[in-house]
Amino acid sequence: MALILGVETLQRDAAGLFSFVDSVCKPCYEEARSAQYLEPSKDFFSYVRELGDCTKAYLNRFAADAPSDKRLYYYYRQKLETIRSVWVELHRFVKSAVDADTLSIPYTLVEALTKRLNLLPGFRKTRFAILQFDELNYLQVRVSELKQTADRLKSVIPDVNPFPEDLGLIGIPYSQPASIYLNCLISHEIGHFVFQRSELKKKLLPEIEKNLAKILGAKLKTLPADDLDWSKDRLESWAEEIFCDLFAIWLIGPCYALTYIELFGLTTILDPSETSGFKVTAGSKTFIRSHPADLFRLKQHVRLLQRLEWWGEIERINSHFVDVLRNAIAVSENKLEFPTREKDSGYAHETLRAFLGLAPFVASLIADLTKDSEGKEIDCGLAEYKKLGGLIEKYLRRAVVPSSVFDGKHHWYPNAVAILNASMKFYLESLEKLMNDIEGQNTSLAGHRSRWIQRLESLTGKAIEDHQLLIDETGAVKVGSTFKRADLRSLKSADHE
Amino acid sequence: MSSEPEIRSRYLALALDARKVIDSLILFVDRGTREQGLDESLQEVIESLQVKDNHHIFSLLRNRLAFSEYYEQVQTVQEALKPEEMKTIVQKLSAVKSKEADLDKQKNDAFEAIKLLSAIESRALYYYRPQP
Repeated sequence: MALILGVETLQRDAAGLFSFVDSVCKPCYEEARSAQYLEPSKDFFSYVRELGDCTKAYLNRFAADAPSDKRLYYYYRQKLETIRSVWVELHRFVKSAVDADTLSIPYTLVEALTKRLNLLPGFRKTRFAILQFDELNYLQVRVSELKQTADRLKSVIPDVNPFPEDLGLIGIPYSQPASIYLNCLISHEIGHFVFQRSELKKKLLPEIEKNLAKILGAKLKTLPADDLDWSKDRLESWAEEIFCDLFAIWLIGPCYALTYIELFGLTTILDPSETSGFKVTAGSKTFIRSHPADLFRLKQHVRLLQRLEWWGEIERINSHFVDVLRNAIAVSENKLEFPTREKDSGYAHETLRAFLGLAPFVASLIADLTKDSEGKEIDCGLAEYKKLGGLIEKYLRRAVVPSSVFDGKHHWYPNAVAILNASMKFYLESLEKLMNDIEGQNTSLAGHRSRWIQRLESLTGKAIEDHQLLIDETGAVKVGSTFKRADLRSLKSADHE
Repeated sequence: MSSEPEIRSRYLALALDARKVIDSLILFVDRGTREQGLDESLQEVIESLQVKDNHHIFSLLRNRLAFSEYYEQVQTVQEALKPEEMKTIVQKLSAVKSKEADLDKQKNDAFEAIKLLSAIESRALYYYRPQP
């Protein structure tokens, strides 16, 4: 006999989902964990627990609250599938957050980047929980959408708390917790948080329309809506990626661009057999539907580095990585391509041209955003790098942690931007000098080099970790934006008195 | 349709935005109760589902809800509903919002809208679901 669909079947289906929600939440309960987590991760677990409690309470009364009109059964029942999908999404993130305990994440770097972000008005209380994923590509571990999903869930399950406003989520590949250089790409992910939190899409939409109108002319009014929706989406997506790149450059300096070159193997464009010294490879000049071409991105990096006056420092670095940046600037935008099967090639090219017109506006968003409450541009870290970068390199040359560097008069405490960029410069042009001082090390062996790169990253990470402790010590003096050690003699004599 | 996690979450957003309105309409059809904010919510959906002119594509109103925030969402809605159903859903939602007809007629319109919104939700969930 066929079961009559009604309260009983709803109870059964709701119970099945209840068990699933319960199992996803389980790792978030304190007693189920033995590892240590930072406060933002604990906040995330707490949010998931509360969300789980609200969802389960809702499922408990789901059948009882069912509509009495039988025609509505099917449409009411489908809600369970939508709720299940949200928890399928959360399942992926909960596991990733549980895996990211303090021993497995680059928390000192994230804390340093967060402190810099906290300088911006509107982001003073922002903090980030780290999640660890299987994917290697940092661009595949975007987690910022989870907040939007969670906020939407609030509209279908009453009593659910909103996702904590100042809590961001950052995903990193599980294999890279110790890789200071590669983890510079985290600053791009912070850019996505800033983009969404600042609601920059609102500013972008009219500019997207304006730039499409410039290229399409009168056609803009008569084109099928589907085409325009597609173009709007491409421009939005590319603009957000460029914004995040540029924000990362502002946040952390040129080491972001140099890391980008490393991760994506972009030194492959260099070709000594070419008169220009480089070859525009298919991969480097091609836009894909979600991301701009690598060479276009690097060109935007260089433009911002020039505006922030970092470029003069980078040009002095003796490395083929810098040649890639020089060549990126030289690439004509006519060479850029956007092959796609979604629209005809002529229209896709017009969409690409509209984006090229939009890019300067995206760059201007960075300038607007990185001002303090009085409208003054916030320091990008260049001054401290100029002052202490050389000293930091000298310490690294002797394999000494550069958390406190001595200039003959004072002991200075360099900040993360100065440390990272000086370390990156050292990595690119001077690693051999360090290795040559060590017996039995062969610079021509990749294995030996790799060992010393790891050592260099370890020295760099330790210096970043020490910075916060040092600037908080009694009597540390702030000179401009830099901190120096207290005058210990005067502190001692004060103690005696 | 793409299976990238970032894109998949857009389908989930569409399902959730559809569900929000379905819930309100179910309550209205079943008990005759109009939830607070129902009219504004219906108006937002109407704005998201129709293109008055091409300028409208870039308006904030049309880009607020997941029916038309991203291209994948627009495509999913168009796959779930035939062109005449797109017109029907806008008509039915507008009729519920206007409150001009008698209550039974309003409830019938709401029920027709639920069916179409449910088709959108179902299609979005299908694209969201990880495939084995």
